[in-house]
This record gives sequence, C-alpha cells and structure tokens, in this order.
Amino acid sequence: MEQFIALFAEALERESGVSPEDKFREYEDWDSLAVLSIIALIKQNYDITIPRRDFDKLQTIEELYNYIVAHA
Amino acid sequence: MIEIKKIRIAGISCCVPQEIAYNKDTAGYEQERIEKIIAATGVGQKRIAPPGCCASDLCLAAAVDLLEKSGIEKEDVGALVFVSQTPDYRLPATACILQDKLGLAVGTIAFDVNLGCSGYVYGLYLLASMLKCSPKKYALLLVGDTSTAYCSDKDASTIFLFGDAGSATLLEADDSAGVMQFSLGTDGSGYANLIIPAGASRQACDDNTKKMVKDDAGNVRSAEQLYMDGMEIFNFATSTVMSHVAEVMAAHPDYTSVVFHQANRFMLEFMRKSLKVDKAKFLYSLAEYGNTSSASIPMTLCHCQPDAKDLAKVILTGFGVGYSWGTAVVDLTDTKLGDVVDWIG
Repeated sequence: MEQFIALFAEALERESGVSPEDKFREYEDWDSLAVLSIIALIKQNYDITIPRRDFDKLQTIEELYNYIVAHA
Repeated sequence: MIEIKKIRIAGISCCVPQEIAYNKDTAGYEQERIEKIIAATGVGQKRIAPPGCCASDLCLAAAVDLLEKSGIEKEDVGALVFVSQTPDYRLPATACILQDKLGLAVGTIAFDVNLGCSGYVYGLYLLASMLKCSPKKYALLLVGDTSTAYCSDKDASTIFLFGDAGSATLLEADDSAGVMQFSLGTDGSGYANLIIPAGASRQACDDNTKKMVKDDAGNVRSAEQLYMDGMEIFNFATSTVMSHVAEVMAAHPDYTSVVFHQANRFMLEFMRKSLKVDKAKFLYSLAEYGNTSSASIPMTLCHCQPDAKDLAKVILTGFGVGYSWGTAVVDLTDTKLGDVVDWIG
C-alpha cells in the first residue's frame, strides 16, 4: 500500500502526498489526464487493466489498491 | 502473418489544409490546462479544413501530386479505394466521384471503406490483395479524414487532438518486389468508446441529437459529434494492440522503423517504452499535425522523410475506432515519399 500511495502521489504531482481514505475524484486537479496517469501507473507497475465499469465504482485510493490486489 | 508477394508501394503523397490551428490559442480553456493538455497529447498545432473542404478534396490533391510525380498512365490504374469515416455523402461512395475527378478509366474498380485509425493498413492489405488478381499494374489507395468538423470545441478530449489530412498511395505489381506482411484484427465489443452516435441509420439526426450535453468529465458535446473514452482507448491500446505488436516485433526483430497511428504522445510513449522500441526508430508527426486519424501513418512517413536505410523494414501499425487494428511490415526503400503539401482550394 505504501508503495502504491507514493506512486499515486507522484503521478498526480501532489507534493503534499495522498492518504488511503482520500476520495481521489474530489481532488481539485482530478481530470481526464489524471485518470490516464493513474491507469498508466497501474498498467506499468502491476500489469492490470481496469475497465471503466469497474474504475467508476472505486472512490478511495484504498479501494483502488484493493482492486489491484484482488486482480494481481 | 499474411504474406503478399510481388507488390510494392511505389509512392506516397499527403495533403493538408493550409490553415494552422495552434492549440495554445484555443479559446475557452485556462492557459495552465492547455499547457498540460499539449504536454500530454504532444499536439502543438494541427490543420483545420475550411468549410466545403472534404477529406476527398485533400486526397484528390495528394493523388494528383502522386500521379504527376510517378509519371504512370492513368489507364494502368485498375482500382481506387477511398478509406475514410468522413465521406462526401451518405451515398454515393466517394471513390466513384474521385475516379471521375482523377480522370481514371471507367473500367476502374472503385469503392469506399469505412475505417479510421486502422484504415491505412487495411487499405494496403486490400489493394495489395486485389492487385494480385488484376491484369492492371497499379492501384490507388486514398486515405484521409476531416475529423475536426465533428469535434465539439467544448470537449477537451477531442478538440486539442484531431487534425485534418488526406493521403494517396500508389501500389504497383512488380515481380522484383519483396514480401508485404500483414496481421489484422477486430474487437467490436469496444465500438461505443470511439463513436459519432447520431447521423446514420441507428440514430437519425433530430432536435435531440443536436442538444449539447455535459458529461461527467465536464466535456460538452452533442450526439452528432465525436465521442472518445480516452481511458478505454488507452486500455485497448496497451493490452490488445501492444500484445499484437509485440508478436510482430518478435517475428521481425530486425525492423528499421516503426510508425504507429498518431493517437497521442502519452499513449504512444507508454507503448514505445513497454515494447522497448528505440526512440530514434519511432516516428512522430503529432506535434505538427495532431491525430490525423486514418491518414496519420502516411502523414508521418511523408513528414519525417526517413533515410533509405531506415526504410528497409518498416512496421506500420494502425489501431483505434472499431475496435480495429492492423500491422503491415513493408520495405519502403524504393518508395517515393512526397513532402506534405498544402491544399489550395
């Protein structure tokens, strides 16, 4: 989880870091480019492709991480 | 892979509208956001067709240029295929009009193919196959789109990305030519992720299809305009397409250049790095012309004008709308690559 959080913060260039309980869609700079950055991060580091129908249900960083663990 | 022998690509010409649209000047967006989008897409500028200029007009100009430079007799052209998703009319096929405008023989086989980002590779495969059983020596592939006419200026996922362009490619039956190899595929389950929903038979245009609707990402478009789910296209490109290209590259480790459909820089760089393709071998025309849809592969070749040594074994890969994808492995050493010319109406 720690590694994923660090990668997530780096991908979105959030110097203040991120927390597992953060609802990432509520970040001020969350946009379609941010979505691509995170999807690319997950593909590159975990070799997982998340379909939109699944991705849209995930709200927090912890949920996203749990999805990755479940599909790794 | 499918092998087609004794057919070569004799020449390629490309044509774009004169008007340059600079992404930095796009109205209605904050400068900081524009800069982020330019950095991610890699598109600094693109060409926009003026009203009344169709993809066929750009292809026609490219074809006139190509036929003049090649010096061939028009009666030796046996087939003309126009690949586009922005035809002149719902009917007739634009290829019929182009046959007449080009002054090709009335015995010419001419028809349209409705494909986008993969269309150039499909067109090469189709015409090379046709030439194999034709008494004629040449076939003409015209590929292009004027996608910008279908982009909403309030949709950041498309307005910064697409540019207009047309191309013409001359295929020649030649006993001394080597082997063209093809691998093609389709997965229609992704059809809704890159689509203009209204305007054809499934959903006719009416007052509702003209309504501008804001989506969850804040982009505003009508059902008569282009919709693209960038996330799903990324998923498709980095799974299906990358596996497909990896297989081709494993079979052809001695490739000299790679030309992908110019989707966007973020995605292409992800694919290039994942596939471990040397930067110098991976060609781009995105910065100058944007995503020119079906024409992006010939556009990139004509824009980059690679040295002959880099054209001995070229991997051409188109992928996108459909989903549809295809790769051609071709020798372009003897192919005349014209400069990209401006369309003068």
